[in-house]
Formats: sequence, C-alpha cells, structure tokens
Amino acid sequence: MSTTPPRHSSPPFKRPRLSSPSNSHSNRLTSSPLQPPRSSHTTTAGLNYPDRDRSPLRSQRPEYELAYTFKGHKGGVSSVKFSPDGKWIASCSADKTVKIWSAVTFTYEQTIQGHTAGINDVDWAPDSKVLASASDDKTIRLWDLQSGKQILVLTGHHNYVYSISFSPIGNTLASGSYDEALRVWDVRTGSCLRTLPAHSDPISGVHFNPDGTMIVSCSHDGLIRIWDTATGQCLKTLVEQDENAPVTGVRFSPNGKYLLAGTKDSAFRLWDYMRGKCLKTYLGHRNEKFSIFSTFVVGGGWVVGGSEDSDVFLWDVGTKEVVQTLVGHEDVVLGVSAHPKGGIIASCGLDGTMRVWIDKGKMRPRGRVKD
Amino acid sequence: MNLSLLDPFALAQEYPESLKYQLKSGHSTCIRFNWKGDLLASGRLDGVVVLFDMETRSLARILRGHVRQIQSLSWSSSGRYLLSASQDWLAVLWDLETGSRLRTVRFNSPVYIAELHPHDHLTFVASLFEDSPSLVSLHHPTKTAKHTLPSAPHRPASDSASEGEIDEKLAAQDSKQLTTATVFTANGAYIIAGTNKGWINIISTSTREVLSSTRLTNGCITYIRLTMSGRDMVVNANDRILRTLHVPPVLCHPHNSTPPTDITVSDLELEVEHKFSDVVNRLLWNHCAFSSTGDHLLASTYKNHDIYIWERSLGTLVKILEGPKEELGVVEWHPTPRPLVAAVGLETGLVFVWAKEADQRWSALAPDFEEVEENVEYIEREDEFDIHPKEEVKRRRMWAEDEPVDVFGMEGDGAHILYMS
Repeated sequence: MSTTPPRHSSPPFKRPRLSSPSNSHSNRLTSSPLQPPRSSHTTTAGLNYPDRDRSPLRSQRPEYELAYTFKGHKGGVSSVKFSPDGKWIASCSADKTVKIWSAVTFTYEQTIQGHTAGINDVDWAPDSKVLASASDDKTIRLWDLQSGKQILVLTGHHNYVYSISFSPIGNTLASGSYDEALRVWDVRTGSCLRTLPAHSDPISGVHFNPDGTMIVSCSHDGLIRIWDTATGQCLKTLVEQDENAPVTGVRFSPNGKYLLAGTKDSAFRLWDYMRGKCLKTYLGHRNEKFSIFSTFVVGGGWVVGGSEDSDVFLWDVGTKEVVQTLVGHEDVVLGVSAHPKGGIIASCGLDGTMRVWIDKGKMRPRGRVKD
Repeated sequence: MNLSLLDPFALAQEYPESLKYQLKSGHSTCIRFNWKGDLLASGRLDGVVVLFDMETRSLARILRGHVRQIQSLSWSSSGRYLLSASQDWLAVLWDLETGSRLRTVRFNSPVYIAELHPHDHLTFVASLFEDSPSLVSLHHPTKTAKHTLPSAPHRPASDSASEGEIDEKLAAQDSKQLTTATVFTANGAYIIAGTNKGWINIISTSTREVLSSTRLTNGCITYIRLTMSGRDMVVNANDRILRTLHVPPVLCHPHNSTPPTDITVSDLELEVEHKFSDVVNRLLWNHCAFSSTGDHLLASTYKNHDIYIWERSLGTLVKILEGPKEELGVVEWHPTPRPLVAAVGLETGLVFVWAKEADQRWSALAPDFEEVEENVEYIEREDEFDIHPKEEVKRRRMWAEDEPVDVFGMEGDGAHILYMS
C-alpha cells in the first residue's frame, strides 16, 4: 500500500504559494530547466524549437479569466466535471457531498448527500441525467439529477474507490480503487460484471475510450494499462522507462488515439498508446503529492491541468508551451474540467472552492469533437 | 477502435469455438442483433419483446404490445427503431429512444416475417400466413397505407395463341402461389420474395410489380437472408437444402443513386452458387444466417442439437457447434468481426451464445516483452549500453517530441473505418 494520501485529504501543512499572481507567463516558462530556452513566448520562439505543426491560427492564445468562485463545500474539493450536455457542473468534496451548479446561469443548484466518507471522483452518464460518485466509504453511488435521489449503490470494492468513468453509451461504469482492482459495473442492475486485478498499487485513474471498446487504467505502480472491454484482457501496458513515477490520472484524447497521463514527477504526458511512445511532455507545474486531473480543451487545442502551486496551467497540445496560467486558487488545484463546447474551464482544489474561468478572447473552434 | 491493439490471430479466428453463456428472459422464440451488435432483441412466446445488452448480458428494455408468440424482429439501420411481428396479426414499430410504441399495424392473418426497409424505418414488407404479402408505408402520421404485393411468378408472354390452354393452367397454378418469405435488397429498391411452390420473385418496391421469377425448388421456401453487404443471399426451403445465390448486380446499386432503368430479364437471372445439405442424416434446416463478412453460413437443424458452419465460397463444412441438449431454432451471427453466434433453444426458450475468447497475450502486460516463436539471438545496438548523463538524455528526449499530434480529429482512423465497414 502506498503512503500517498487520498486525493481529498488536507495537507499536513499549508503550502506557501510559490509565485505571486503578478508573475507573467514568460517567467514561469524559463523557470523550468527542461524547457528549451526561449526569448519570448511569441511564435518567433520556433527558431530554436522544431515545432512543425504550428500555423498562424495556433499562435492565438487563450484568455481565460476568473469569472465565478463557488465556496459551498466545507472541505477540499477533489473533482469537478461538466455534464456532457454542458448544462451542469458537478463537484465532489471531502465533506461527503456532491454539489450541482448550473453551467448556464452559474448558480448553485443542489447538494447531494448520502456517502459516509469523503468523495474522490464524480462522473456524468452520457445522457447528463445520472451522476455517479466514488467515495472513501468503498461504494459508488448513482444519483438521479432531477430528484437528487440515490438510484443505486455499487458495493464490492475492498478499499477507497478513487476514480470512475461511465462508458460512452452509459450501460457500464468502470471504477478503480485502492484495493488495486479495476471493476466494471452494470449500471442497470448494479451488479459487478468484471473484477480485474489490474495493478500492484492503488488505481488512480480509469477512463473509457470514445467508442467504449477499451478502458485505460493507471496506478501508483507507475503503469498505464489498456483493457479490452469485451474480453477483460490487457491489450497494452505503458511505462515511462526512466522515471517510473506513480501515475495519478489518465484519460483518452477526444478522438481516442492518444492518452493524457499525469505523474508525480510533475509532468503530464501525451502517449501514442499504439506505439507505446510518449509524444509530448507538459512541464511547468508542480505535482509530487496529489492526484491531479488534466484534460483537453475543445476549441483551442490546449491541455489543462491543476498544480500544487495553486495555479491552473494550459499548454499547447502540439508545442508543449505553457500558453496561460490561471491564478486564483489559494491551495493545491486538484480537479479541472473543460466545457464540452469549449471556452469555459472549471477547477477545484484543497481551498474548498470551485472556480469557473471563461475565455474572453475571440473563440475560434479548432478541431471537431465527437458527438 | 480497439482493433489495432487486438491479437491478429484472435481476429483471424472466424467462427466461435464453444458454448459460453446463455441469456434468459421468458421463453424466447426469435432473436435479432442490431447493426452495431451491442443489443440483441428477443421475441418471446408470451408476445413480450426484450432487448439484451450484449455487454452486460442483462435486460436493457422490455417492450409489451403483443399477446401471442413473436415471429420476426427487424432493426432500422440507425438502431433506433425495431419492428416486431407476431402471431396475434399485429406488427408493431417501436421507438427505442422512448421505449414507446410508435405504430401498430393490424393484418388479416398471422404474420410470418416483417422486415423494415433498410433506409426508411417507416416502410416495411410483411409476408402473411395464407395471405398476400403486404408493403406497408407509415409515412402518413395516422393512416397506414398497405399495398398488396403479387405472389404469382412473372412469366414471359407466350408468342403463340395455341399455348393459351397452357397459360390458363399456369394461371390456375399461380393463383395457389403464396409468398412465405420476404426480404429487402440492401438498397431497399427491390423485394426478394419466396413462395410456397419454391419460386423466388424479384419485386420492385416502387412499382410493386414482379420483375422476374426463378424456380429454385419444388418445396416451400421458408426463409431468405441477405449478407450484410447485400450481394449474396441464402434461401432455406423445406426440401432439406440451403442454397446460396448471388444477388443480381443490377439490384445492388447504392442507396440514393438512380436505379438502372433498362433491366432485362436476363440480368435478373438467379444462379445457385452452392447447395448445402446433410447427405447422411438428411436433416431439415430450421433456420440459417450469414456471418458478418458473408464468408460463413450457419444453420440449425431440425430434431437435432447441432449448429453447422460452412465456409461459403468453397462450400465446405468447417465446424459443428455442439451445445445444449435441445433442438435449436433461430440462429444469429454477431454483426461485427467478433466470432459470436446466438441461437434459441426450442424447448427451454433460452438464448445460447457461442464465442471464442482469445487468451491473454502476456507480452501486453509487460511493455518490453515480445512474444517470439522460437529463440532469437539478441544483437545489441551499437549505442545500447552507452552511458549518458541523465539530464542530457532528458533534454534529448524533450527535443525529440516534435511530432504533430491531433487529439480531436477523427481523420485517418483506419481501425475505426475497418470496424464500420
């Protein structure tokens, strides 16, 4: 068993903020020893950096600004998720509650209670009507959004349930737990369809690919594994050879061709899982202790991730450049979520707040999303 | 999407090996996979239609609307609509998004087979018990337009008056022809109908006239099934022979393109490709189906427990699936490349599923390992054990990360295209 604390537990000491909000991006860029040196953050930096896929459109930077701060939770907020229809935001916390916020009017909607211990993760069913939450009380609970009532309790895990993911058609749910098993559940009956002894350390992340044929899981043992949904067999294992740092979260790219994984060596990596090759390493943030979420931002071509220095980082997917840092949180940022249509980012963290950032810049949609 | 990671040897396995599990909900009489293969519709003896989720193997939906045994089921290509036909003289079109009954059509006799138009869920063709087949259009929101289709074979006009007597005889015979099986071609422009006297009629959907007729056998034709591509078909008749035929290429023009106008009778000639029969036991075939690719044919046998699988192009028997100790009725092959076959037990009404589960590839669990057939002498690379400073290695690797990536677009996803086709 790893000594890593659960995602929501409060830190043993309050970490001083590493940088003042007045810091500019370029400061942070050059502060990383691994980033190639750059004169400025404009596109002329391409001189000493072979970024082939940069087009004039790409250089357009995001201009996210803090729009709302929600202070409802009485503990650290471990995860935040936009609903697939883009109308709601769900946040879950160490205070054993899930709170629903409107992503249209940006107001508080309701609090869902029932878990007997802190909650690690939430996920929306594809119809945006059902919500699942994974908790330290070893259960996963399914909730009806309309009534706020509990639909099902999925019991079976022997330890904290850490991460959950609905399948794209919403008939099954995958969960990863501290008991080192990956379970697949039938959402209609609540029965466990499969238990996969997937890893040798707590599982920190699970995610379905867009057509539901594969599940990816990651663990503190440093491995990322891809499973065939139909047979339950392992199809591929990925490992970062030199680092072998605990993996704290993983997800498929919107088109299902790549994986984005966060590791405790303060890096998010983009993997081509077919070739078993790491294509991009996103650096600049700090992640040594907590499980921090990262995701893709539609409409910009950004990767967004939290950081232990209480900022939210946005990287360009292709150039790995930090394009913006969102400053506002007062403690570790754990969860990030991007609006399915783009232009809005939600973040949450140990300071007990959930924050919404809106892109004030001219939005130009880049790339399609799978419906 | 997972195809590119799957073991190619497991994919090459084209037919299932052994009985894996069974699905139970009442007494099933007829089953049908949707086009994606994630749902299996099952019609029951008590008239209830249930949908099994093939992934969770549990019930996804229960549809109540019939009071007698379900005879046939047909999915729309989108997977949203399901047509069920029953011995209670009704055909019901279900909207599965809401689980509601969209339309109910009453006939004047029990329905044998009702099949939806492949591109229009508001049109279907039904073959009826001792009645003329019907082409039904539900385009009007309330009214149901039923068009009777002819059953009499198309006979070329005779050239001399002296044969009038024979013509009369034929006409008398033709009036006894009853259509027992109907199916749309892949583009929906034509209907292939089989009669109780062993004739196959090709009927135009638009003019509702018989374009050509071929006599395959003397026996009654009980079932016609097309491959997913629509280029081949299998005909089951009660003369104990399954026949595979090529659908005439003129009938296979793509949907939405204009059909060829100058079709001659010779274009529509049907030629039997293979005949499949059990020469030893003289078994009667209960039901038959094609594999997803159309390369294999399977059939359940009358008063026997086995399912036969043939390789279609060569006509050879490749596998006899053994399973439950009971006679099997309707058989279905999963519409994806997965080797999976489902069949209904006539006595118990259970749905039996045969599958082939690939073994775990151990190399998948360890990224550095590769499975080899025999020992290989390892030749190290020139620089394999060179020692570089860690920072230097890291920097080099970071600089090598210059590949363009597209995390949003779906273009060029070969595996995905393979899955869809």
